[in-house]
Amino acid sequence: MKEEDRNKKRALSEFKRYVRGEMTKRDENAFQRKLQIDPFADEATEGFSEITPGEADKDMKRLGKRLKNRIRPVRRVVLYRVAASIAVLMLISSAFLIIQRYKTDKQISENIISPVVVERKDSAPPSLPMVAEKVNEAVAEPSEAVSMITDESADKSVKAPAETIVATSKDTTELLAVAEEPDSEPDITTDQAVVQEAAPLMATRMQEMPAANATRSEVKSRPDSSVAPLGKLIVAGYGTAKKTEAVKTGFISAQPVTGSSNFETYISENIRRPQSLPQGERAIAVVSFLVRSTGAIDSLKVVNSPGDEFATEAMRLIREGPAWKPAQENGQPVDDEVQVRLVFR
Amino acid sequence: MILKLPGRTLKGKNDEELLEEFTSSGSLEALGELYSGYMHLVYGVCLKYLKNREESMDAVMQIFDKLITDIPKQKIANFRSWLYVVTKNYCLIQLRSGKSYNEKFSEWVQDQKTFMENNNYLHPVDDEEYDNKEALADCIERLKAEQKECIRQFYYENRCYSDIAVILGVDEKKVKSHLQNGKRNLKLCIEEKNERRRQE
Repeated sequence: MKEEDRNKKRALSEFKRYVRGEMTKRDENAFQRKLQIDPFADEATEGFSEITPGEADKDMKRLGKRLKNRIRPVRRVVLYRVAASIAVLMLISSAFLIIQRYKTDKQISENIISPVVVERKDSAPPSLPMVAEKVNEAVAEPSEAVSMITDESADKSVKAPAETIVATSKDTTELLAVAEEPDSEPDITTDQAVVQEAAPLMATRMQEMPAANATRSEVKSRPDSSVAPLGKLIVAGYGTAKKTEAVKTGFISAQPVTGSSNFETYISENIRRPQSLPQGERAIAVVSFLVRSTGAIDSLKVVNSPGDEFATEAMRLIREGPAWKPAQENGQPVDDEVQVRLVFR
Repeated sequence: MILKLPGRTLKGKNDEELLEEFTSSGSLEALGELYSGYMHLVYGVCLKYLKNREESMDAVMQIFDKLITDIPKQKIANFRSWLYVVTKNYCLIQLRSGKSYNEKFSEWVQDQKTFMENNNYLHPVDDEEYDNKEALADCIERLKAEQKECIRQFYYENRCYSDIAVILGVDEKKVKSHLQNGKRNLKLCIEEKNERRRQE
């Protein structure tokens, strides 16, 4: 069944390449041989030869939209189902949060927290009180997500109390979470905020303490929360949509010119999985670089990787990847440091 | 799994399963998923006959509506081939006025069977396993010069239409028709040979 699906996709992309004239002469001959015994595709290519590839693309997009509109009534029913599922997930997550908070109060009184080395240097000082960083993770299986949250919290999390979570969703795949921390915990000098997104509209927030956690690459540490630098971590990996956003007025962080979801698609489609990584296992590499106010990429380096092959691949993806739009502060382009977390799976 | 997204579950399904889902539940989602895989072909064929982008796009949507009413009425063995027949038929009816659509359509359905047989017939030149290479080579020699050259360039030199067109100094469409005619003549020639061998 999957094989058939793949064949269909391959046939479609072959067809497109042929119509656009992107094939080598050899491939063209091979494709034309298929056309000789496939009158449907043969006549279709004749039809497309009457219009330009650009027109063909535009028309196919329009047709896709028209078809979608034609079948829309059914989609609405689907949305109800989604909404119902989300409501259930929200309930589970809020129950979970309450339990976590209860634990936290107990744990904080028992723990002494030591500050951790700062990884991050950043030129842009924040103008707003506090911005926390978040990782949104879209996990395909809600139940899996819930179990992940449980594992992590049991292992290593010390929770910071009295935090508010505001989650707004732009659409079902993108989620922006803003978390604010009161200064009620001055002895907590570093933190990490991880938002696990179990379903598109659901967000749970956890504060992880660095002491147990310093080796994890995505840990962002701050020496002093009152002068915390603004940081951003873009996370991309095959099959998952991950995103971090720091929110601050007047400051727009550097972004891929293609937009972050396209950037993730680019990564997932181009990432080469090193042979040395056993099937079924995943590995994470983190690279960091500066996006200059000119848009140039500078100081590209690997922050963390399981091995040379991963490091090289991660660097390659960034180097060959889409251009970056510089960060803006009050409308002026400024330098910005970006970290990208790549998941090999 | 709490959340079952129909959109996702439809993705991995093959034609028969999507068709089955549509006929059993009337799910336009399923039919849409099925149709979207062939929409480019349908559009291309419409373009070929109608030679107009707007009209062709309308035709693609009208054919989709046609499917909704027609699929439940028939037994479809191969959706792709069936869709080709429906598409071509639709276009020809748009072009020719005269007989009513339904009349024409039933004729086409009749033709579908013969069409499928023709479609599945693999020509010796296309069939790489063909065992009687000598007979084939001999028949190729007997072809008209331009047909022979086209067959040779296309099947033995692996050249594409546009290259052959340049080499022979003719139009690409001519190359295609030489190939088509050459293959028809080859088929006749080989059948004749086989017939003669059987008589001996």
